[in-house]
Amino acid sequence: MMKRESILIVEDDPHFMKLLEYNLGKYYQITNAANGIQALESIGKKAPDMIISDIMMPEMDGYTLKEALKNKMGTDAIPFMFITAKGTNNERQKGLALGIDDYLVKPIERETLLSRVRQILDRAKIYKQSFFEDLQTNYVRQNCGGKTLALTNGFDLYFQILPADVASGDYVEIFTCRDGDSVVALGDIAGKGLKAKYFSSTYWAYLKTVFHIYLRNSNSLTNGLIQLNGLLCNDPSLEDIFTTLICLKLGKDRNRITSINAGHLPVLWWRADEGQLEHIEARGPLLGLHEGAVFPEIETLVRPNDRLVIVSDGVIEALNKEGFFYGMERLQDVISKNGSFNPEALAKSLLYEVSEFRSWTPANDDVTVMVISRS
Amino acid sequence: MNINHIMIDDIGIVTVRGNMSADAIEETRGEIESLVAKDGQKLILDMEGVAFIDSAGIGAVVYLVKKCRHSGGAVKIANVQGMVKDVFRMAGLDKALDIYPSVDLALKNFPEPKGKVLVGYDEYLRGSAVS
Repeated sequence: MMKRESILIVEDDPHFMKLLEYNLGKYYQITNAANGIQALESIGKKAPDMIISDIMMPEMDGYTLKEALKNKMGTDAIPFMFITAKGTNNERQKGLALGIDDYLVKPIERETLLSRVRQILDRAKIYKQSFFEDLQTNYVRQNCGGKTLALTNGFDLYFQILPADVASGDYVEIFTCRDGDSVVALGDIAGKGLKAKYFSSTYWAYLKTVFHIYLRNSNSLTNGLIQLNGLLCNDPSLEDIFTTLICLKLGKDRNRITSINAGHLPVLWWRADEGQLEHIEARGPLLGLHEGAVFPEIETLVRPNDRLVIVSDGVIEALNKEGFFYGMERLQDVISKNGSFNPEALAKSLLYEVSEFRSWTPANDDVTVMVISRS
Repeated sequence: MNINHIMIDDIGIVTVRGNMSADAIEETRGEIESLVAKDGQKLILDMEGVAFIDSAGIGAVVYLVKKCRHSGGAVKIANVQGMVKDVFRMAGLDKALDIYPSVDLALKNFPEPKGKVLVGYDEYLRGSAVS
């Protein structure tokens, strides 16, 4: 059965409220509030698909309610209609200036009400659909991996991003610096709601700028991340989202790896000669949180056939039916068992284990696995 | 997860209890946002009652900190325990956030409002010093 759209009616006159509920209740799921304060409480718990509000109400009037919603993340775009006895042109202009979608003056005919509500909801649906289609188009352009790359300096790399939604918050960048080293970065942009999804493209732009302009020409991952972090900290449009990032510089001498970590899960290093697993602990804070943050670099000397595994939190936070996380221990067990596999086989074995743990149900977060091998 | 909020002068003490997981954060999103609805908010997040946190929980803490900082306020964290402490360390938050072993110490590290002597949290709980 198709889910019915929800409408919050804000009206202090109980008789008119009943009338609206009677007419709209056959087609929509109705909740009600007697004034703006009650409406804000209700919206805080669950945002409706549309709000129909009176203007003159005790405690908080309709204008103040709309103003409050306009200034709040996630509620500014909820379709909003005034139904009021105040029918002057000035009142109408005041409402429209606040960004309302429609304005009906009492008394209202049933057919007019139903058709205007339907129009507003359809318009909102089209807007939402085109927004997500845009995101999907961008996502298709985004590189989700799925093949083994032989980097110029003797490392093989395989990665796969499995997005949980049309827009993946996980991202991978790979490029060669002027000095011949390769840089590999894996990150996770986190945040909820449309605003976070919209502004994650700003994050992308900052990341790509720093990677391709600064890091390509510089030896220092630390300085690159300090630059990036400064940009992210000073952009107030990004206050609702944050990102973790792990960055590796794979040396052209084929053994030396420099790593830096901004709040991401550690790199797991499987040592072929001993069959042992270690964490490479380069700990810095999440990006965009604290402008003075320092990101220490760690140098590691790897040997032929060693494996480096990086995952996103969608792996260790995969949930099974009983509500348990996949966790770091299971991840380590699979890497220890299959460490000798080539990068693609090791990554696929991990993805398989995680999907099986979830009983093949859809993931609730993006899942990314990257495996690097010294060839 | 439940959230309780009391004010001591202009500082909000936010006590969080339960698991800070994705579902719990989604359910309490309205309450979390209302904590920072006002510009310049000063908050202390008491996490003694939080035994578990995932990336969504980290996201909520980071959201509060960033929102307050951008509007001229501040967030201090108190009583981070066990697994939560490990996750904070892994995410580098132990160095980036203002973390204190108790609410009382966090409170004492906020600048005192002019002309007022800030009451300690322990004294406040004993009910002896608020008039």
